[in-house]
Amino acid sequence: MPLTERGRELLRRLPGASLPQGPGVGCEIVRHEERCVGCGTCARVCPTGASARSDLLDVGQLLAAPAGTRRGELGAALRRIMRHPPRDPVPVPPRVVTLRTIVYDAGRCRGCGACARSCPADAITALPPRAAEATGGDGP
Amino acid sequence: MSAAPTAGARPLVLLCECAGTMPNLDFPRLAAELDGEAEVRRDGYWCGRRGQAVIRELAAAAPGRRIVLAGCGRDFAARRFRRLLDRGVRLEVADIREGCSWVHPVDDADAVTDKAARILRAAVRWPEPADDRLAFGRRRQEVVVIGGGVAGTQAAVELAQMGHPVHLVERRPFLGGRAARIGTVFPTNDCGQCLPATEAQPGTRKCFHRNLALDHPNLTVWRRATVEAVEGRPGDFTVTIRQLPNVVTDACVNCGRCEEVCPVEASEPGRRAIFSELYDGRVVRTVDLETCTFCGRCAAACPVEAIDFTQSPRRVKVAAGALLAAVGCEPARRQHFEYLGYGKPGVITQVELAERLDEWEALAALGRLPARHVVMVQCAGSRDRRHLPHCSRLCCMIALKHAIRLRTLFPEMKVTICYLEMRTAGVGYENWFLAARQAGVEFLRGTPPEVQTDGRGRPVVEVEDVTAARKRVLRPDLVVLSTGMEPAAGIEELADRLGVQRDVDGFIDILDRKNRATETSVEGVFVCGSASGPKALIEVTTEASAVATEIHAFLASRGRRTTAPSEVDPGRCVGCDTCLRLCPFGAVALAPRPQDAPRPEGVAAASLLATIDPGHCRACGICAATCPELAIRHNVSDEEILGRLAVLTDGVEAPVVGFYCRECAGAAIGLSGQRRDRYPANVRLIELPCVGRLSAVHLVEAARRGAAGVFVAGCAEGRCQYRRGDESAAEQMRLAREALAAAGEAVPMELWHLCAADRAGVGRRIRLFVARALGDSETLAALEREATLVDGGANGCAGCPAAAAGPTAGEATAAADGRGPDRAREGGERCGCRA
Repeated sequence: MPLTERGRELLRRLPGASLPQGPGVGCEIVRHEERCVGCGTCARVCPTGASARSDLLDVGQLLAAPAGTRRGELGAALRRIMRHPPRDPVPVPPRVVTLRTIVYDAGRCRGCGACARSCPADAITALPPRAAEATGGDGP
Repeated sequence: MSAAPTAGARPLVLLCECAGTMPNLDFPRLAAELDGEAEVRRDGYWCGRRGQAVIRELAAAAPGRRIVLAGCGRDFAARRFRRLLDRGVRLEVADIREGCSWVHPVDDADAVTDKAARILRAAVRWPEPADDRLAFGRRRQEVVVIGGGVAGTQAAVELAQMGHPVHLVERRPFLGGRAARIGTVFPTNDCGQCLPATEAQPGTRKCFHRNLALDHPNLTVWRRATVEAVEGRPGDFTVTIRQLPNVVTDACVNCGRCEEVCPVEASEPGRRAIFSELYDGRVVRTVDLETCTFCGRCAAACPVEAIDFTQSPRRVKVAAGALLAAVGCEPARRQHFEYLGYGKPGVITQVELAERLDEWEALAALGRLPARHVVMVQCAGSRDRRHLPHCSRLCCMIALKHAIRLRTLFPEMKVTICYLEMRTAGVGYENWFLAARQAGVEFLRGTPPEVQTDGRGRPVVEVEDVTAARKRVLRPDLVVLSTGMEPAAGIEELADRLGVQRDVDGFIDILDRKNRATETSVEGVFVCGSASGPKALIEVTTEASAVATEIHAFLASRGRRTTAPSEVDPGRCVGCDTCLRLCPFGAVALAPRPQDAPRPEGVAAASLLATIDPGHCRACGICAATCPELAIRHNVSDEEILGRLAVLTDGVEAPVVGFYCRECAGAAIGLSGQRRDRYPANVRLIELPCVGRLSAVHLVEAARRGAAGVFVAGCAEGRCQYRRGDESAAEQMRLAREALAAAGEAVPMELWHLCAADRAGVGRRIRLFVARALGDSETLAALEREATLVDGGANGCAGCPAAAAGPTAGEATAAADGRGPDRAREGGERCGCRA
């Protein structure tokens, strides 16, 4: 569970409290895949590699995305040009910059929130840390 | 836990009895309490001649040994011991006078001595951060001035005369800017082409085109040039200048044959593609590169072969220690005043009227009347949220100038000025208003929402006359719109290149609206004239001279006193952007982590690492307080703040903790102490460089140590000396409050904004806060009564017993749920009898 060093310092003094969100406390990352355009900015700014760009494009995700979203549009376009679009992820050539699937690994996330601040598509939200779980019995 | 004292030896504490002014301190006990931690020497008063001589000997006997003076506060000590400090003796200060004895009850020697002992112990354990001189190295002496209007040219000329090589970069082919192009200017009613005269020329001012100052060997003028890029750091910039060719060379004798043969009509009316403007007299002729077809007829016609089409644009890099943005402002674009019928026949702007006035002068000589009634509409598009929100400050004076001129030229002409307020603030400006009245100009209070046209194509102005409270319909021959000024075109890109911030109106933001009108948010980049907001010539020339002196002082400076800059621990920094975003001085950079740099667990090898530029860092501590990974070390460490907190509050019953910055709030608290404004001894103060250093961790720790209340005192609202320290502190306080509330341990917390003017109220404020925090209804009632007497009942309700009866229900709940009492008070539940 993401919790920064400073969040830990706070919790050491306030065992059992839940932390509000604020500069440097740490946050929980929620990704809204339907808004993601796959630009990879989050992967570029992520300090720990918790967000990473995959070499594969998850076509199924595109096709399942709701209409009106960027991914949904792409899915619809795909359906128009291909009779049987592949259901499995397909490799993306290296020169294609966007469109990639972003893989987020919560286990590596430290909750700094850099990705949420830098996401151009507003596809990442930083929520207050779920601190009670984060303490993990780490008392004062 | 504590930072090791320097130079091994125990620190020397000079315990000062301050000539018996501290009767509530038990000095033998104080000395005994420190035994073992420091060597204590007592004296009646150390600041006397004899005492200072002893200190000098002591300092000379053991160089490097810390000397802590326990007595008066730092500001007072700095003055009393000035000569010692100037000789290089380093004195640390433990303030047991203004910070303890003088402000606490006279009769409670036990508690006051206990607090003084704790202050001393904290001072002994944690050395004051050294105030060292930060050397910049030598700053480059060149200056790049952007903009060759009156402001830029005057500043450039003055800087050149002070001995700085100056590059004056002007976008147009001619110097002089807007002031030279408009005819006459107020308040002198002559041209705006003057520069201060040089010593070589008699008089106080000379025209641009005759002024020898422009030929100063230190001055390089880049015409038709723009600044393309700025790199480097304050004192050592590299500026890329791009210059377009002038086509016409210096050989030109201004015979005008080229203009006769030129077949191209330029964008400005009545002008050929090759043209002349006689503003500054150095370049007399140039080619409009946008319309020129390069047919070559002018070159063939030129008798002196002064036309050279083979020149190409060039790009030059120059070094500079400082930059000056003097790009001026521009008349508002038409979209801002089209709602007033601009574009319809009979509706023009003041600028266009100025152009017509020259022709009208000829008509006046013939006894003809070009218009019977002229209506001027002030604030056309200005002070209007939909258009230009700011006041352009010049339009009132321009309207007055033109109205007087019209009335003088044509006594039969009726001139009406529709205005909201006439803003004639300036030396002698009000006389213009009076002169206009005398000249018979009609002033009509109220501006029309629109200008219509009647069947014959004449403008109709329907306006609410506010003074007479009736509607008026005017049918003038001419409507003149007094339009405002807006930031010069391209200011956005320039601001980006320079890295300076712009204000809400789009002009270049000045660093401080009260004290530093020519500095920008970037050190080494200055601004003067209308680039930071529309200004009249007198202000522009004053600012130009001021900025020249300021740049001169900046370039001459070799260093500044500062505490040690903050440092990033690469072993803990994960390379997020928190510090980068929050640093008010742009001192933080994120760069790829070097291969050999340590990195915290779980962080990728290809990650980023924050670095702090010591030249930019002002050691405010905002980054150290907010770093998620506690990776930034400030010269006042977290261990020190938490340690001081422990020393000051351990075993104290219900202490009230106050954090304050050593800038404005420090001055207010220090002065309050000088006034001996007393407050309870359970108040424990911790000084910080800036409240930005304060972290939620510190606040929570204070609460955990049993603090009954915590207050944080920073500089006056919006006046933080480190720009954003109070914002950061407010955010940290919110965090701490919410976290504490979640844990069910709410403690009253307040953020105060203090400045030296508050000195008389600080003591009372602290007493009130303590009484509220402790729920001491008796004291609170007494304080409320006192406030009623002082404010004459304006602040509280004198007749209402509830107001004087202690914390009301609203405040009690506010304290319980962690909101500040002030906020609860805003709810209006304080005094029921008002309903």
